[in-house]
Order: sequence, then C-alpha cells, then structure tokens
Amino acid sequence: MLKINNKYLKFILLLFILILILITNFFDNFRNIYNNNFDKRIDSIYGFCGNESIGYLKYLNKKYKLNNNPQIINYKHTPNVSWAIIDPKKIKLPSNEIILLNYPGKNISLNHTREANNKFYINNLHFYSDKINKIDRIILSFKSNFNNNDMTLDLYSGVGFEEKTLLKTLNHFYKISKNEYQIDVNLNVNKISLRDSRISFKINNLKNREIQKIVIKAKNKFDVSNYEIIDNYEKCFLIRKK
Amino acid sequence: MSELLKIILIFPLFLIFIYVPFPIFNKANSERKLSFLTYNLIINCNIFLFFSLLPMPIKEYQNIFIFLYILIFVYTAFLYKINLIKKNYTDLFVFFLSFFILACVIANNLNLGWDAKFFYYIKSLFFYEGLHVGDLVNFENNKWHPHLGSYLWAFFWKIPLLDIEYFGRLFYLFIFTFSIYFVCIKINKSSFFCYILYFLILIIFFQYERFSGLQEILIFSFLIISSKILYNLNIKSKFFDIIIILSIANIMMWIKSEGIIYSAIIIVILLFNKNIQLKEKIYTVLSFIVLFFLKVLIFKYYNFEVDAQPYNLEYIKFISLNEFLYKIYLITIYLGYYSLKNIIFVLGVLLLLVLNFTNRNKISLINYNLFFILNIGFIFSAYLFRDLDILNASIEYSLRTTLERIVFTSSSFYLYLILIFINNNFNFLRNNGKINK
Repeated sequence: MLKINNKYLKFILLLFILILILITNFFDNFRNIYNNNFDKRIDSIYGFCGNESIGYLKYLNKKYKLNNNPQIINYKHTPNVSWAIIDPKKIKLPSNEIILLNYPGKNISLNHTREANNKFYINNLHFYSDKINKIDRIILSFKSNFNNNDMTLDLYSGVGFEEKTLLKTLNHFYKISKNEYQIDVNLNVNKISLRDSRISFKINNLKNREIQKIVIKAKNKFDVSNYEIIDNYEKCFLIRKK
Repeated sequence: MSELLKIILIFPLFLIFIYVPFPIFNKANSERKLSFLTYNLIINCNIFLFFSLLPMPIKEYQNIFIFLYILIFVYTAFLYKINLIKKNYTDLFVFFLSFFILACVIANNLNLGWDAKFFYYIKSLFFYEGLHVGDLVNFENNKWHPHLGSYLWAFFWKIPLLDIEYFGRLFYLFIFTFSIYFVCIKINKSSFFCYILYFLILIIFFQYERFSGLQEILIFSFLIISSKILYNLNIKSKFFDIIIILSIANIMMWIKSEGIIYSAIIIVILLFNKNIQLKEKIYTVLSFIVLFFLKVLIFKYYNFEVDAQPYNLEYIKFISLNEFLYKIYLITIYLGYYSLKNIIFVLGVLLLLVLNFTNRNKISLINYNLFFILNIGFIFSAYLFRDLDILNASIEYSLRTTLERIVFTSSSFYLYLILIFINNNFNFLRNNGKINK
C-alpha cells in the first residue's frame, strides 16, 4: 500500500500553489498592474464612451468643476453609473448639468421581445422612464405588399405569467409604405405605475401574414440642440440647460 | 509608489488588526495563539463599528489609531521577549503568499458588482469623503442595508500614502483568507497537510465577484470563524467564546440585513451547547436582544428606515394557496440548482446526512444539524413571505439574482465539518501506518 510521507505532501502543496497561481492568472495580473496605472485599468474595464462609460465620467470629473451631481442618463442598459463621480457632500443639491451617455439621437427605438408572431412585449419599460415621455408609434414591416384595414392592437400592462390588464385597443393602422403599417400609440409612460412597467401588445387580424420586423418608436426627452453642449465625445455629452 | 509595493505594504498593516489589542504570543514558547488572532479581529471589527457610529470623520482618528496599535504590538513583543527576527514565519509566509496572489486579481479586475455600485461603494464614499453615519440619511439607497462593510472599505481606502479604492476591498480579502487560515492551520500536526487544505479551500472558494464590493464575503468569513468557535467551545474558555460569538453576531447584524438571521442562528446554536449553563444562556439571549435593539435605536436616532425589507403582515396573511405552492416549487428548484453548483454546500449537507446515520468519526453534529434546519427554514421563509410587488420583481428574478449568494454564504458554516472529517480520516490513515508519521 502507498505510504504518504512529507515529501509527497510537499509536492502536493507546491502543486496547489501552482494551481492557484494558474487559475488566478497571477502573472498576467502582476504584469498589468505593473504596466498600467489605476486610471488606465479602469478605462480598459468600463470603457471610455461605450457601455458604462466610466472613463468619460471620470474624465469629465477631472476636467470640469461639475455643478453638484449632474443627472446621468445612460441609454445603454447597464448597472448604475453615478457611483463613478458622485459627490456625497452635494447629494441633494440640484444641478443644471446633464450627462448623456450612448446618446442615440432625437428618436429612440425601444427594445422588445417577440412572444409569438403577433405578441410582443417591451423589455423593462422602467429603464426608459427618464429618457422618454411617451411611446409614440409602432411600425410593422411585412415581407411583401400587404393591404389590411382590419388590424387592431391590444395594449396590456404585464407580461407572461403575470396577470395582464388591457390598457386600450387601437384600430387606426395606416400604411406608410408598400409593406409597412404604422399606428400612433401615444402612451404616456409616466402615467403607468412602476409595478406595471412591463408592457405587452398583441396585433389582431393579421390574416396569416407574418410580421417581419417591428419598430417601437419614442421621442427622446433630451434633444441636445436645445441645450448648451459643454463637452462631447462621440455619443457622450455634457450639456447644460440654456 | 508602485501599486504592487503598496499591496505588499498593506499586508502588515492588516496584520496589526489581528495582532492587537490582546497579546497573541504564548509566554511559554513565544508561538502565536491562533484563537487570540481571531479574538483581535472580532474585537477590532466591533471597535470599527463603534467608531462608525460616532459623528467623526475617519481621518480625525485614523493615524492615531494605527500608530497606537503599532505601539501596542511593539510593546507586547518587548514584554513577552519575542525575538521577531528569529521567529519561524512559515505560517505567515503562506498567509502572505495567498493574500498577494489573490490581491493581484482584485487589483487587476476592479469591476464593482451591481449591488456595490448601488449601495456599498457610495456608502463607503460617504465615509471616505469625511462624512459620518448620520449623513447617510441623504442617500436614498441607504435603507436597504447597514453600513459596517462600507465603513471598513472606506477606512482602508483612506490610508495615507496608499489611498486606493480597492485597498478597502483588500481588507475583505484579508478577513476571508484569515478565516480559512483560522480553520485550517493547526487542524493537524502536519503543517504541510494544513497548508494543502488551506490552498485547496482557497482554490474552491475564490472568485473575483465575491470581492467586487459585495458584502456576502464578510458574513461568509465570520460564519466560518463562528463555526469553529462553536464546535470547539469548552468549559475552560467558554466565557471568552460566548463574548466572541456575541461580538460576531453584532458585526453580522451591521453588515447586511440577512446578517440578523445568521446572527440569530449562531446564537441559537450557542444556546444548544451543553457546556453552557442556564444562567449563561439567559445572559446570552438578553445580550443579543440588547444588541439588536441597540441597532434599532441607532437607526431611529439617525432617522434610518428600520423596516425597509419587503415583508409585511398583510401580504403574509393574504397569500393564496396556489401562490404559496408555486413559490415552494420554485424555491426548491432553484435551491437544488444553486446547491449543486456549490461544492462545499452540497458536500457539507451530504456529509451531514451520512454522518447522522453512520457517525463513526465521533464528530458532534448538533451545531450542523441546527444550522441546516434553521438555514433551510430561513431560505424558504425569506422567499415565501417576500412581497415582491414592493420590489417590482418576480419570484424567479428574485431567486435568480440572490439565492446563489445566500447558498454561498451558508456553505461557509459546513466548511469546518468537512475539514474535521478529512482530518479525522487523515489521522486514521496515519495511525494505521498508511501515511508516515
């Protein structure tokens, strides 16, 4: 029978230390810390102007004397980013500056998921509550020319297993191109309570036609041309109320 | 100064907080007393808690505090005639080596966790910027969790000359590695065997995400420590051990909301210890109640919300049978899934089950049986009676985003059981000549 003595134990110990070094990428970590300072490493992790854009926020904080804690609007769905530049001493003071990250332009297309051919829901409407006032319109695209005046749209609060509540039924679809129909929804998102932030809708009387694409449009609350632009880098802005 | 050098320098500073205030050296052989290292850590965390409650910025006392502790350490070494140069530092080197390897992961990664960005980092920034606990009332997300973890983060972030954000989180790493060091080192006469266990557990448990500013790792570490103290509690040292368990309960209460439950669980386990007399049990319960209400009073004093968690009696009273059964079904599924993903949790529970029927190792299982029952009870009731409408979330979302961390925290308590089992079997093999002595 195999006898284990201290030599074996020493060997196993060294092996375990080596495994720890390897699985933690110790040498890569060591080299990166040695070659890049803290700020550089932060930029490479969070991006400069893209996703969380922490690099841009830190850059603004260094370059400008920001007015209290500016409101930060990130059009990409990421964790809260205000932590990067928040000044706790001025936490409740109003600011006349706004930081826009990943700004998409005057109009926003809302992310949605297709449940079935004629059933859709808007993902996390709550995310858009500080970016839009209302859902303006929905555009349906079909593969080819299609004439249908009977289509209706049922708008619900709630999704999937949740109990759905019918908010309203709309029936005034109109044709905007050979294969596209549009409907004006004008749903004020600020009037929908937080717990109903999941919105779904169903399109009726499709006459067996498949919807190829759907676009849900909303007007951006922020039009940068109405503000004084203090700083701009690609899709990131620091703006001030005129 | 290079960041790598700073990481090396922060280690001895952290060590001060386990070497002081109680003398850790054994007069007879100048060896370090492992239990006293732990006592110091627990007492110091309580001292930090005390400071965190005062309307005093960190920088006003930080330097004096550290200087005083260094003085006490030097004085103790002098008093006990410890030759610091001739001492055997193998244990310490192993501890440092593991700390340094893992610290580099944190220093390189830097990404903060979701909850850290929402709660803990900003709270720690309050303390870092010289504000005090009363100012947290201005922070809208303050209500969800208490602040001790963030305060520790800020204290070690603000160390003069070092002053880097993640150094606060390195203290979490220090507590984590120390808690594992505490249960592994000296579990067996063979130091190599102890070191192997130590590194093996680090390999199993270490993940960067645990140190991304989330607080579970602190409760995890304190539960590991309490598991060993509760198991080894004997008549000789019981007074000190009871105080330490109460102190751990106090710390956990101030780290996270669910810390109160884990605090209550370790106190219940303490009450079932046969070495503790009735009078001592009564004092323990009274002390725990006092600590709990002290926290409530402090919350009220600073105008913090005491009942911010999503539980209300109305919801519990009117929960339908269908919803109740559906929730039980989902909790069971997700608990099973996350348990299977956590090797220590699944091993610990299986071992407990097996040992309950075939206890040949003579391991006392009462602590672990109690922990298992109370912990499972906690997990089910936490999700069953949670009014998710308040959080605007579904139960599935809630389970998906939080249960893994609860299973991880809970797994820590079983770790010592697994270690005792491995050690007993190692000793059995050794005594039977299969391993050379």
